[in-house]
Amino acid sequence: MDKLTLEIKGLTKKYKDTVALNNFSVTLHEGIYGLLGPNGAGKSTLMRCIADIIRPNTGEILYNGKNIYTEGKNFHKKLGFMPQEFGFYPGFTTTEIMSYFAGLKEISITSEEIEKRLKDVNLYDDRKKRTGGFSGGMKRRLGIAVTLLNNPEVLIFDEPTAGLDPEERIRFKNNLLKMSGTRIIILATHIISDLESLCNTIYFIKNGILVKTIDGFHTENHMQKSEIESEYLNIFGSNEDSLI
Amino acid sequence: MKMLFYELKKVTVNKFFLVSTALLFAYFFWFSITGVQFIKGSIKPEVSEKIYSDLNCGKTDTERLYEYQQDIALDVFNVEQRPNLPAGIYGETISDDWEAIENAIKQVRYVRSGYKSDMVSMIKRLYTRYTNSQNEGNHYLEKYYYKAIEKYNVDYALRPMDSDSGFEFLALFHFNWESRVFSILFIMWTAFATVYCLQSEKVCRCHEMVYSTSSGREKTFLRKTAALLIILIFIAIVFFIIELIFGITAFKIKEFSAPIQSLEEFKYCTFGVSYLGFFILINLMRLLSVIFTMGIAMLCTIRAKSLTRPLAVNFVLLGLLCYLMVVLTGLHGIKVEEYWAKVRTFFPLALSQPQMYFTKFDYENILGMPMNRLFICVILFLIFTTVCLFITLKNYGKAGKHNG
Repeated sequence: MDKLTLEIKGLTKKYKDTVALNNFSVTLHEGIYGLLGPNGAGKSTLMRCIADIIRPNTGEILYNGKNIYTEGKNFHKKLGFMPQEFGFYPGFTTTEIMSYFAGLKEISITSEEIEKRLKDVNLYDDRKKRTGGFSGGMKRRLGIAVTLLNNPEVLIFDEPTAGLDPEERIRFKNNLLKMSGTRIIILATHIISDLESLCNTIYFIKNGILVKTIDGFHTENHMQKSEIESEYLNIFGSNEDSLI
Repeated sequence: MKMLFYELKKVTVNKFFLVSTALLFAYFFWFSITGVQFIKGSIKPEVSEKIYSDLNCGKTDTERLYEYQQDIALDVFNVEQRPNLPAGIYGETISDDWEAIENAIKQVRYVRSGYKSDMVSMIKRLYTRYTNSQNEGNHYLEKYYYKAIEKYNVDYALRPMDSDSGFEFLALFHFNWESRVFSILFIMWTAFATVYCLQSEKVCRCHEMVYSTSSGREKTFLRKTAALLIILIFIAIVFFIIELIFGITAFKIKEFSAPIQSLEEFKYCTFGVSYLGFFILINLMRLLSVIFTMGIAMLCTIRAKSLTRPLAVNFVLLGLLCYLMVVLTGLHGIKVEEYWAKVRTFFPLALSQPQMYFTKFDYENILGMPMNRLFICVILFLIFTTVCLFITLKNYGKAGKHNG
């Protein structure tokens, strides 16, 4: 089977006078990739460009050699995107949200399958509850379940573990590790512990520029938190918020 | 179907939508009930109903009604020194009968002879003008008068009907100022429902997740449009049914199949429709005006990032249009009304004000051809609404270079 390839070539995105991404280029294959940088570094902008929520001013993104923006729906079918901040329709139950997003992703899914997916994120008991009363953590877990609905080849998570309790974080990380062999997974975070023992490659981003890449980590040889921390401090300096 | 259901649910479970719908219905019932009470203060529909029933089945005729009215006029009952106001034949008292008989006699005369003689004289005058314009070589006027002759040279099988109740019923729900206010509220409500429907993802902050799915843009927009149309059509049908119930119960309307020209107010109407057909038509026009509003509201909303701004834009825009429609035409005399009479042809929101399209030969010069204003307005409605929907479809959820 051919390798999955996501090529980001010379991506530049400007918001009025601010350059959020500056000539950003990387090539990704199956595995887990971490984007690390302080708030406002350009991580979310990069992810939103890949998810086709915003378009870059210059540059292109190719998935298996094809431009994702001209591919449109075909690329969206292979994509799972969970943004940093999101919510759900408060009048919908958990099951309805799953069913609705399954429809949006144009996949047929049985109610048993939905229940299984909800069990995976520990929301089975809340399947009939309306999402309007959900806590931040519950919303995030439902967001994870929704993102994974179409078994995407390209998975993008922006701050996925914010609000999750330690048990859920571990469960989430284990799920990602299981999936990473056949998917391109991109994690953006400024929480270093999220990337610990998880990523094959970490990109350090500052002011929209890729300032450092550390790669070559495999499942048996993952980067430890202390190593990432020292790299982070070297690049960005001390930032208490980021060293969680 | 399931996805359409979800789109419907998104809008219909919203508290503001429910409250605004309740307010719309509350106003509708308020003006309907007070209107009916006001109407009952003049000619009582149940009295007219009995008179027309007797007239139509041959139990009485205008001569006998005349005699009865003369008896009342000659104060026969008082001469005979009865202590109280005597009971009428049709109503509780003779005073109930008086106006109803007056109206019935007038109506029967109009239906049996008045209408035809009016149309004959009209056609004669039109023919003179037609030949004059032929002699002058004015081809547009020639076509205009020829069309008018064609339209008025029709022998409608008019039937006596309670013209008072028949017209008051239409006026209450479609022609008077309370109904205009209702149309504005309906238009505002439509704008709100449209803005909320399109912005519900942004309001719930799940737009990025929705837009990144394979059917999160065009198909979602089409489903939203379908959901909105279903809601609008449903509400319009509910209002239509309630109005019809009022017509049958409070106004005692029975002659639904009589041509609309049976009402003297519509003798110059160029549409060959029945009373019921006319009633359906004006309800349909109101529906078209709210669908047009939906299209405009969609266009105003599409690039917005929140709910507040498009709501404000829609409300200001529609407020101005409605001001033009109602306040100016109602308060500022004939000049503005004349101006409005011309503008309404090109302005589909005017479909919510149907009266002007049906009380005269309502034709406009389009490239040297006399064309019916209502027809032009409906064509423009189709064009404008399609353009609005098309532009919105192409832009809904679209990733722009300037998004941020």
